[in-house]
Amino acid sequence: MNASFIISNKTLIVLALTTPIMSNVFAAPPLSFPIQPSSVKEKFVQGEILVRFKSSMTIQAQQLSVASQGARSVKLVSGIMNISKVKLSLGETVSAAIEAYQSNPNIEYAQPNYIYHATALPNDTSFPQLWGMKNTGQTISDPDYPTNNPPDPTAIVFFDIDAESAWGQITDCSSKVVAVIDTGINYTHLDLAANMWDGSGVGIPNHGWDFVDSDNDPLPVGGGEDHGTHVAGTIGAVGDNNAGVTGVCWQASIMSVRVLDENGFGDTADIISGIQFAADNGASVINMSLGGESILDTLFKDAITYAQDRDVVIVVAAGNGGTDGDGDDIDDNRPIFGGGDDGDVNTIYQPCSFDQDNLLCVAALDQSYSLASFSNYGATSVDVGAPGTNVLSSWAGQIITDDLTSGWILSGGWTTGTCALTNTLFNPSDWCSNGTYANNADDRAYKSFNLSGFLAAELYYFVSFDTEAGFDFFSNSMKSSGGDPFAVGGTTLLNISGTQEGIAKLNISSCITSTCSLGFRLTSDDTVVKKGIGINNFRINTLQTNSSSYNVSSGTSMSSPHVAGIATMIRAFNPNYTYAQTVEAIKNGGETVAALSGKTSTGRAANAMGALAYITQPTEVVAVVQ
Amino acid sequence: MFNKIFNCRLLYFILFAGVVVFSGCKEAKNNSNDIETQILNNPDKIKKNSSEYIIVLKEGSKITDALNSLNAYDIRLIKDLKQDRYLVELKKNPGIERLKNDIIGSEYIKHIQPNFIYTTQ
Repeated sequence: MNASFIISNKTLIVLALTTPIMSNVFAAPPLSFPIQPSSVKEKFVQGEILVRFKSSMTIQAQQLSVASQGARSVKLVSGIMNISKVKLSLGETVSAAIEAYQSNPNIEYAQPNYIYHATALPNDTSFPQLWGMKNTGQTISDPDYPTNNPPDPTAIVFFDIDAESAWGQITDCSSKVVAVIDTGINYTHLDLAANMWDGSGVGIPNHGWDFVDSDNDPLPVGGGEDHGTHVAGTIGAVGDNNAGVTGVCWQASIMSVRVLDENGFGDTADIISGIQFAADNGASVINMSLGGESILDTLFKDAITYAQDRDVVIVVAAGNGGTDGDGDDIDDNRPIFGGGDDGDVNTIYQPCSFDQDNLLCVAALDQSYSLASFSNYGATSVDVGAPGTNVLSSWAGQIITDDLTSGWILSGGWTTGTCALTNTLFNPSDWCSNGTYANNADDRAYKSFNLSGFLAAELYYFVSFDTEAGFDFFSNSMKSSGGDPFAVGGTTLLNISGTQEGIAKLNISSCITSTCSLGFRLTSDDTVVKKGIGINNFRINTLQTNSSSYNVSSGTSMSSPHVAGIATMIRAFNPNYTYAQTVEAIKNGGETVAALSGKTSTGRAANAMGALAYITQPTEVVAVVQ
Repeated sequence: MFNKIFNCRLLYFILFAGVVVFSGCKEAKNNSNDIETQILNNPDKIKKNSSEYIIVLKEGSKITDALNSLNAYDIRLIKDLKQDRYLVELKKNPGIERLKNDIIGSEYIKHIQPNFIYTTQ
């Protein structure tokens, strides 16, 4: 394809406002997508071009000029601007004609006759942060994946799922149910409540089912149980409501199926029950942003087939590599649980590696449409890519942050300060310069927080500790009545020894009071001292009714719901489409992305407009032309 | 070391909410390291499910008959998963290969497999 034909979304918008030759994409025959599905950027009419003749040319001279180049006809579009539409000879491609006409000395320039359609943008206040929907080169605030987040100089902008164009065709997907099989969804979230599935007519009053706790209420139970809420928001947060974010679908019918617990873990038994529940209760699309590695999980695979037999599209995450943080090739059947490569050729990554036709597996792309460093890939197993870094979406509760610099009651060697540009609570006081803590220490640091009104709470922080294993301890406690949490009445959350660093996530839901005291302690014996303890990124994740919180997250979990949203959109756009046609449209209507070549079966990123354009126009839909 | 870290993919570093109390005696030192490693690298859920299996009955079979055939492992029924599937826990866990061998030729059990673990991505 001639590179000059590639125009950015931004360019398209500018032209749409100024060009009189506008038509709905579905009204312009023939659609190029089924024939040349390699790029949705090829939105121009086949068999004709527009040329601008030099001003000295008469109409007759123009006709003679193009006739000499084999054109079938020439039709004046604008006499003032000397622009004409040229019908090309049979078999002549637009790209070849452009090249030929550009060299004609009577012609100032030649270009494709681009196709335009109505576009729409929602008024949600945080929409400008949704680069996956509309990538303007915006800087995503509070990113957790800094690579290619502008102004990162390596960033290349304007790659997205082309939602804006798709929204010119359809925003309301609520006629088709999309199930989120995940942790619970905070269905009271102000940006989700109106878009939750209504199962009250079939005796399911709370928008889904909880297979973890075996009840009819799939609300999250933990303060950090945000995953399902975030996924749901990308699929179908209420759009154009002057608040928060929008989903791929502005209106949706989201079924919550809780199969993963508050720590994000679930098992075959609950997952297959969840799939069956969703399929039996009318879901047309299922999103499963989950995965794991094992020998073949026959019953999980059978459940996918069960859904296929009921015409359900299932969209799953490709997985996030291993503990090394790097994505893995899952076609080699050797990823370790959660990623990495354990060298065991008998294990496979599931469900992405299942081969049913109703399954779409999605890799994660960053803001430059490079494969995210953590994303698994596989030329056979993984189908498409989609935005999966720095995705802003709905969050189950308020995040209470504390920079550890004020309000802490400190004793012994505990100190607050800055290490490596980060606010840190540490012990000993010279921890930043590799000092050592004292013998016979009983050093405490604590602070009270007001957690009243929340449904659940989780303490979250990053810790690096180095103590004499078995003799010197790092402890973490809470006390609901305030004061020293290590005194009588306090509850021990963690008491550990040795050397380690990582993220602590601790349930403090029994401390939901206005005086919840949280504290850290270093105790040591009379021999051997080590580097001590450093803590940062301290926060409290809460669960709250009517949450209006949002957060940025990255993972293939975030790319999958972009595609699930597109699948739901397609099925709502043409209710007669089968799972097979929906999958075909997403695969073949995708945008060719270099980073996905050899990494996915299609080499394409899912594209909402491309997928819509790939399918045949449903007869019952009236296209709107602006 | 202290870059901002919050990401679904880092779940495996989580210090799960267990309370670990070590002995104060010096002899406990080496052992405590072993325990610590287990806690940091093996989430509770994985350990919990290692003795859970899902069995699928042959058509027309009863779960009571199927459980009798695995009685040697002190089997406990956990959940009816419908469609002739049942989640069971074995207090004496022989491992999946042994169990697969056990059900060869079974009148009642068509399939047995571990209750695998999955996580958010």
